[in-house]
Amino acid sequence: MTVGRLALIYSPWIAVSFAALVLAFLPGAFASRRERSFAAGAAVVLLAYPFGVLNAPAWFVATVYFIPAGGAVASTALAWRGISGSLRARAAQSDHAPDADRSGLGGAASHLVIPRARSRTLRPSDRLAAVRGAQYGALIAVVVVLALMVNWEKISRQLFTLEALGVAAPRIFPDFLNTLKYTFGAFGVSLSLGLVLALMKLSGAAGYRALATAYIEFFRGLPALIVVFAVAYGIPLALEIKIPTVALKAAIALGCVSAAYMAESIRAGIQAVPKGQIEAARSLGMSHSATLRLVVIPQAFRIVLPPVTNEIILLTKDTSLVYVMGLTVYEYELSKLARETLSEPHGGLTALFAISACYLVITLPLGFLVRRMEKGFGKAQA
Amino acid sequence: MDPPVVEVRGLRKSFGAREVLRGIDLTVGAGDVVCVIGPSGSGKSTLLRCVNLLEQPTAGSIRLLGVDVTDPEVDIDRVRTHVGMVFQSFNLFPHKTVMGNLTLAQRSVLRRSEAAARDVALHNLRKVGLEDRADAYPAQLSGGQQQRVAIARALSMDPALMLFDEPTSALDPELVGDVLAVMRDLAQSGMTMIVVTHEMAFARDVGDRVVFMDEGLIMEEGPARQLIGSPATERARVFLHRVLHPTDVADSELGQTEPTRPGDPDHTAAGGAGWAGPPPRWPRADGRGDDAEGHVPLTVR
Repeated sequence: MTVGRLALIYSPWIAVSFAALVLAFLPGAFASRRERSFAAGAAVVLLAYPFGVLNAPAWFVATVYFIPAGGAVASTALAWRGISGSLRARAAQSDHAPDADRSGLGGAASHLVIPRARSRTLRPSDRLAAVRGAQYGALIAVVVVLALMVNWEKISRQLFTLEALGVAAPRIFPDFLNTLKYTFGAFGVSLSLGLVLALMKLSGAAGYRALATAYIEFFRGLPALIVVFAVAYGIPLALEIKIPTVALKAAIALGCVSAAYMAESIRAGIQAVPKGQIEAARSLGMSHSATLRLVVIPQAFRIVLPPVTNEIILLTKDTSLVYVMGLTVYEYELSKLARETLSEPHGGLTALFAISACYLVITLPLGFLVRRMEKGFGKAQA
Repeated sequence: MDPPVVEVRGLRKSFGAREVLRGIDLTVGAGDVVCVIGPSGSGKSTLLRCVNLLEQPTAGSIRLLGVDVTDPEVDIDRVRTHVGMVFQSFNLFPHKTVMGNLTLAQRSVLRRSEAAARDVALHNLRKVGLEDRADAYPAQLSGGQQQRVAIARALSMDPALMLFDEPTSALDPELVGDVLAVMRDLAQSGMTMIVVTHEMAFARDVGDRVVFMDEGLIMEEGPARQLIGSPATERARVFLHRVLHPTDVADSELGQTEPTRPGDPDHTAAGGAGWAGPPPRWPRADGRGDDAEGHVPLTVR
């Protein structure tokens, strides 16, 4: 355990604690017994760190305590402002009336000395500046330390080799399209089945309600993988039918699972439409179904849009389960391609990186689109 | 003599164990403007909502335009096209423009063409003074404007009867006048209206008849100016005095007119200790004793 190595291990804590040490010299810091004991405990735990004792708690305590309370170089300057400010305040104070009159209530109430907490000698704006400095300083310190700790050469070798990418390249776009195909196929099934289930759950017929509840509880309780297995192998075996394409199998399996979640979201959305809307529509002579179609569901749609977007994004990632069905190369979706390319001799991780980027290409624009739509609704709702 | 537009006989409505309407008889003729006033909890809104069957009566009969709507075979949607309702919280459709709000029911229920629906809508918007806001969304309008759009929406179905459920209670006081002006014009054009309101000036000046309700019963009924100017029953007198002179309440009278429930102790500030017996019932103008002096029945018919 050389000094140099110790310094390296402790470097993050040294960085973030620097301003904490400086702040400690401010009047009012570590004033309470709680702060003092916490600092002492943190110090003990940290000292044990290089010896492998209490590693995990050490990280936790140090992170929780030092990062908010400490900071780095930037916060030192702001902390200095605080120190000089408080020194000035102290100097000004000694010019005033004796301490007994600190409460400012005058002679008659001079026995009412309201004790001022020592930490109040910092002006509020200085205190805020010090805290902000500490927050940004901690952030910068962590980023810098991580950047120094990361082995950039190794990473570039593993994640960014064009060679490895070259092997997977011709398949990335077709498999991207496959992923989209499976996702939107499943989404179609999920939305329609989910809407039907939601309406069943809200219906007047107790049998429909029971059926819908049973379906939802069943499919919410099973892992999607099991359902994919069931649809791919179980159902053709049991019903002696052949489901022609993988896309259809994926749509059925993933759609059935997702429909259970979608049904609950849609039902909540429909019930969230104010009762007054239904009363107004019925008072105008609109039938129950016309009310549902023209007044309730358009409004429920706006309410339900965030959870539905969530579902699409989850479905996109669930398509990675399709591989259990046994896919030909032309039916691969992105995750299966990534898995295959991982075993490449040179920098297989590159493909993983590229494929993750592909997933983000699907999910990020979706999120952006939905935010735009919600803002459009917001204009109407004002 | 035209048949009455609304005929209510022996109407009773209970929500679970609580009987809100305890036998209502009411007749509204063509062109009548009937204002229903009374303390909260008296059943005014429930009565109004029973008339167009937003609430299902527990007993009694309601005849609207000659049709018995309490008959289970009746096509209530058809009947409701002849009855317009205006709500306290406006209930405009937020996902449609003002024009969309007015034409939605016309197109889907009355099957009018787009052009015809727009014409009717613009005519009604002109009546309420909002034809320049036809393309605005409800959220962009003030409360008074929204309520006027709601009135125009109800009028676009060409109803024979208009029901108003405390139309100005949710409005900024300055905007109340706009809505009342629209309602006054409507009354003067001969529309049959039932208005549940707290605006006594409107009831006295525009109403033909005023009905005073308390605890599920009609306590008093009479010509507007007569009832509001000099009510016959003690309860109506106390109510009107409290509404028209709200700062006149003495400390000893605090809580005297709170709606009572069985088992409620005496509410007055002075008599806070102990149960001094059931609260006094107000005697009725027509002397019908039993319903007025009995306790609120707990059985459901």
